[in-house]
Amino acid sequence: MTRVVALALALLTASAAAADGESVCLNCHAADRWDPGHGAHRTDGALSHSTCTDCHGGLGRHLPDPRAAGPAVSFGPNHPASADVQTRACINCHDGGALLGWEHGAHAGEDLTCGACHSVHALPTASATASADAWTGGLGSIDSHDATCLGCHGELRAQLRAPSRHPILEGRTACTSCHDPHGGKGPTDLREATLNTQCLTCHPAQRGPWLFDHPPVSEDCSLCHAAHGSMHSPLLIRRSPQLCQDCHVAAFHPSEALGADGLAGASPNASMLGRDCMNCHSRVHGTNHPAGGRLTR
Amino acid sequence: MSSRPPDRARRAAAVRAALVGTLPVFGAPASAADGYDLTTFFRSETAAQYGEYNGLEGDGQGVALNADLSTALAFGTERHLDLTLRNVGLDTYLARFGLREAGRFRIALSIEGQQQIERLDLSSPYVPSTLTLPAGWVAGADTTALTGLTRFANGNLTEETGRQIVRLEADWQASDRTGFGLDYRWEKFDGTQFRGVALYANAGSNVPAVHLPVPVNAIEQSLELSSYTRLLGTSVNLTGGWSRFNNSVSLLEWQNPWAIGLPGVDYPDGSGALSGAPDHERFFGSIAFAARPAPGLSVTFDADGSLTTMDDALAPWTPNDSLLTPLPLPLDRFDVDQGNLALRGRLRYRPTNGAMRRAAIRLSWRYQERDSDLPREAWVYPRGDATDQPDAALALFNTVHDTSLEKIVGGLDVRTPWRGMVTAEVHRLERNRDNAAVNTNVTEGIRGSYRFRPVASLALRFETLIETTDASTYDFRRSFYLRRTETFVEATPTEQQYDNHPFLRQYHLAPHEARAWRARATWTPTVDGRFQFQLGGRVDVRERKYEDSPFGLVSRDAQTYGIDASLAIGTDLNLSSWASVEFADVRSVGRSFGGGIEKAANQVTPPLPQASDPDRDWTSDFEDRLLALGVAVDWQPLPNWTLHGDYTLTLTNSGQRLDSGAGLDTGGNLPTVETDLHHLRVRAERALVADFRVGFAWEYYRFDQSDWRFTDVDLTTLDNVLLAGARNHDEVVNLLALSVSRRF
Repeated sequence: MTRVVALALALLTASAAAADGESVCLNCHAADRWDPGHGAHRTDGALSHSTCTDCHGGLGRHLPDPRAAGPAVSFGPNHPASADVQTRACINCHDGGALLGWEHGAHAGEDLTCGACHSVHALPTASATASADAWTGGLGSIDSHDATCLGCHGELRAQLRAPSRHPILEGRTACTSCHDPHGGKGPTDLREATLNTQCLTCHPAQRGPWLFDHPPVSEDCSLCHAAHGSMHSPLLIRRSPQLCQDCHVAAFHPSEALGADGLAGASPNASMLGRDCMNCHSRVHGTNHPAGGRLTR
Repeated sequence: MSSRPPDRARRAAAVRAALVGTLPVFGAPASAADGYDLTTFFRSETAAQYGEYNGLEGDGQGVALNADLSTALAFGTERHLDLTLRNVGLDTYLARFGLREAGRFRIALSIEGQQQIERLDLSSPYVPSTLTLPAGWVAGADTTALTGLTRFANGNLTEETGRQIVRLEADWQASDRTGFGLDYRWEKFDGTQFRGVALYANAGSNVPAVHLPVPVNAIEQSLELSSYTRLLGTSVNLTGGWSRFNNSVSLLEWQNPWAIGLPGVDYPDGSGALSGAPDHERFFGSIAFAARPAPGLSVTFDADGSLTTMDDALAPWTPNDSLLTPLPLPLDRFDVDQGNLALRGRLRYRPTNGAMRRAAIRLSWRYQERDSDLPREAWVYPRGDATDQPDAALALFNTVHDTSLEKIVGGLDVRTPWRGMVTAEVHRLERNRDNAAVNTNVTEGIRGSYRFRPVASLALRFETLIETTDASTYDFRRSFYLRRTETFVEATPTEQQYDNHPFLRQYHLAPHEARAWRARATWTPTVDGRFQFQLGGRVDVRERKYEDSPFGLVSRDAQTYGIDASLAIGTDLNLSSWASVEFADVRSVGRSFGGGIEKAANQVTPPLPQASDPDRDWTSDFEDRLLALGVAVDWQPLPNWTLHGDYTLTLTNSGQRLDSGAGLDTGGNLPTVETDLHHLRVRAERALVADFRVGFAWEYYRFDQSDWRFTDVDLTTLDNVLLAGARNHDEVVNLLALSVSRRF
């Protein structure tokens, strides 16, 4: 009987809490440095109509015995709801548009929730203003995207610091410049439908169309380039001219083993020094010169 | 892997300090509040590598301003004006002005500057503005003739390309179910790049080349309109757009340094020409559809296409009027349409009740193609434009080919105890090409993964991949002979096609196997308000074997190891460190054909004896090593003092061992190439009064490299390649900065 009364009281109180906005919740969950309970979803600003229970659902047994149970939608750490339930709490409002592909994206497949990357309750250390938050969905400035991503994708840290790299550390590009963490159209959640389309978004000079093209270029930029970073400029997966000889081992001069005899001070070899093969075959992506069949002009 | 605990943002902030390479006093203000900061800085030396992207190239002093300002249009309204300024005063600036109303609309206009610099200390006799030779130039058939030339004022070949971007973005949420977007972008590329380029000589002779500083001046505009609609459980996104690329340097001409009608030089006095990136126009669009037709069932489909057109006047065979070129160009203009199409469908079903509710199945299908309407017969490349060219016997057809790709993936996910999940996946990918050496590649593989949490503080994840690729219709001779007439190919006996060795294959087209596995562990033993610790480790191993392709790349093995740890004590001290190591081992095999003159394409030639002589095989092994580590500390010793320090070290090492076959005249192993990068940053900030702070920062940046490609290269080193000088560019930069900031 006592349980029934307590449950009834809890339900009534939960309803009251929902009706009264955040007053009941904030009796205990006072804003502090790390959990202010306001921020992007604050009640005094952009989303004045939102309350705690809009996202956290009914309070249920949480109200009479807070330590024994969480609200219906708890984001942890003590009583976390399933990833689907947590994510659904966000997608109830933020569906469609940019989140159309979320359910089939790599992150959803890994059971990541929105809270894994987003701070629903804005943090005072976020390097962003309210305006920037509005643009980035609470992630903070462009700089913080990469730290967010590298928290899981740490295997890329070394590549991002390689001598040849995309300027991610400098904040000129971000992981999200190419990848859509909410489920992109291309492989590895790229924003564009294909890898080459993604690369050509920023490098239109390589788009062509070419009269004489270099077949690997039209198929897959990553056959020669490592997008995240490389020790071989410009983002090459290995040093040239050896990279070229991965394919060009047929007759004529590519068939020669290019060794130390091509170094300065020894017998000079135009295939080794300076821009090596590109000393002559400079139009390696393609050319529209009518006499450029060897990609030399 | 599951969602990280809520304190992850705090750890991320500490890790970010060690990862993000922007200056502590530049970039975004470190507070959520509105405010601004003004920084003055001094660099001890020219900072090219250090300043490649961040706008701090050069030396001496400078000033930069950052600001974030936001204000409501009127008290109590939800409409705000926003102004963001970044790095104003540097080449890498950003200014953004916006108007927004949460949940209704937002408009923003941004102006951004970016830059890319690559300094290798190469030099050329040319300067970008004229591309003519300096007075007193010595003419000759090759660079040996230049030995008598005294050093001249070289045009420096530092690459420096700037980008200016103007962007207008707008979103309008018409209702809960419908929204529209607009994105207009104007981007200008401006600066100097350099490239080598051949000055064509007659087939069979050496090919003189020259490094040129090439002016870059191009503009791309794009406009994209988008909309999304939600209705009856479905969502539809539509986008459509247009872009145009205009390049003002579509043809580059320069004065021929060899000049000059000397014996053995077929290229008479006059100019050379180089093709630039073509002007083109592109229309693109996409549609994406998502629906939940039944409980637990989710379906998406998207289609993405573009059409790129070009109508460009072409260079003549040669811009040199002195040359005799009796064969006219096939067409005056290069008129071509090139289309790209990508289709994708995905289905996911997870029962919502019953015994199978812990499982989910996934199916996905992808198709993409690239088509070019350039007819193969329309363009014939006469190899050379010297006085005896063009020669019909040396003609080649253009090589543009169409490709298509189709991939099917099926997967099963099963939830297991300990918050675990087992995933099994099979996939098949088929790639088709026309007018290429390999018509079809088929890749089939399986992938499996298992992740779980044996205890709340420990997360483990394992993944493996096995796949094989088959080149079902490999025919090397296509690569060479399809550039000639088909009649000739068919008429030539196989044994008389000197380059039709059965083992000559190109690695990405050849049959191969790929295996990969990776493991990841994250341990978070303590989560409380005062002491937090996290330790993570990763192993990533990938192997590719091209054993069916004895020549060219035959294997590539890569391994990555990483570890990171962060420690937070109380609210005042954060420590974090990480390390990553990468190993890449590659083996290539080739066969020396002993050179010889280039054969006439339509000439039946007996097989070269080397073509089947294993004694002329050579092997090269490459070892690339990359080590990077970082440590960082954030400490607030007193309420009005914050201290930050971090250090990162990046070392690379690239070596090559060469095993020559008999009769091979090559030299020995190549020297190891190393780069060392040390980067130390220290920052201290003090709040003088509420919301007003003074900060001091010091950065030490040191980069050294030992690339033999740029060592001791001088005017005459490269025989037929005119490169006036080259050396590695090392630098040591100290940067001191003082900033004042205000938050309100």
